[in-house]
Amino acid sequence: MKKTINTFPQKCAKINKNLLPVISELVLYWTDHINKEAAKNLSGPHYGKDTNYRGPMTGQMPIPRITSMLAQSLTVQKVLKNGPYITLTAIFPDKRRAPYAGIVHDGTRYIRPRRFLQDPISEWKHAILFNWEQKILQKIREDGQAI
Amino acid sequence: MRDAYIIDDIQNVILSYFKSLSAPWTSWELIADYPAAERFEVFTKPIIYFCAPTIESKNRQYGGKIGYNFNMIIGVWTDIVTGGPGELNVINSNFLSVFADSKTMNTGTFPVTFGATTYANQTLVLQGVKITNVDGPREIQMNTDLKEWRSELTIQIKT
Repeated sequence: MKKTINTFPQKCAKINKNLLPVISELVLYWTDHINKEAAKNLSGPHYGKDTNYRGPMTGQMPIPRITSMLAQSLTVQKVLKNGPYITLTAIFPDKRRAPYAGIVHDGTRYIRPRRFLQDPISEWKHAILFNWEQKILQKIREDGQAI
Repeated sequence: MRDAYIIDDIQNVILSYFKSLSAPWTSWELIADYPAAERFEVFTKPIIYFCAPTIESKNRQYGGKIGYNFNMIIGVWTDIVTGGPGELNVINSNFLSVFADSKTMNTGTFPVTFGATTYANQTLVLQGVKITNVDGPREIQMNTDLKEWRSELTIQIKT
């Protein structure tokens, strides 16, 4: 009688062990990407204090120019860790530096919303999910080869 | 829907559908786009605003027509006179109830106007609008001391 060795438990253990670094790498990469996109969305052309030229993005007095304070206040926090690997992160504007962040993002009666965080997420969500699927499937296929 | 006016028409179709619903939807003011400041001068009903959809991705198929995945933000705005947080919760619950019952949602008929032509007895499916996902509602914390309550939910639409 032909004997077969069931290698399924070993494969599962190997995949479980090797998937965490991939997930951590993906989380960090896309967090960085969304952070950059959100900051890019908030940064505009910069002009010196003494220049007379006022571009279309510089606004009217008393806001003579874009300071990028809101873009700089975007903070990345590592929320959840599994050993040395980071599995959950959060991006948010630091309210100590830019307390008006919520007003800019969600708008008020007199200010239209400028969704600097929601827009890049909805723009990149499809790409992120596709990338996650591909990378994780690739890792599972690599580790699922015969041991 | 017309291809050359697809963003405007999706907004129009969704808005027309919710406007055609019976009570309690008739007691709320349904408008397209983020409310202008003048809108709040006559603020007697809670405002529900339907923002223009934004493209998330495309669905391509060889030889076929391109379909789009859209995101659309729907916001609810109440203040102390128009019902406050209780009314906000009622509106959000009604939204969730409508989206949860997809059979009723997709067979409900309503009239819709594109340009100068009105089409009667249309459904969401007939117009090619499929709502695939709902995120939220997310409560928006007002940073000012106005007695207002807001929330927003994002729906995903597939054409």
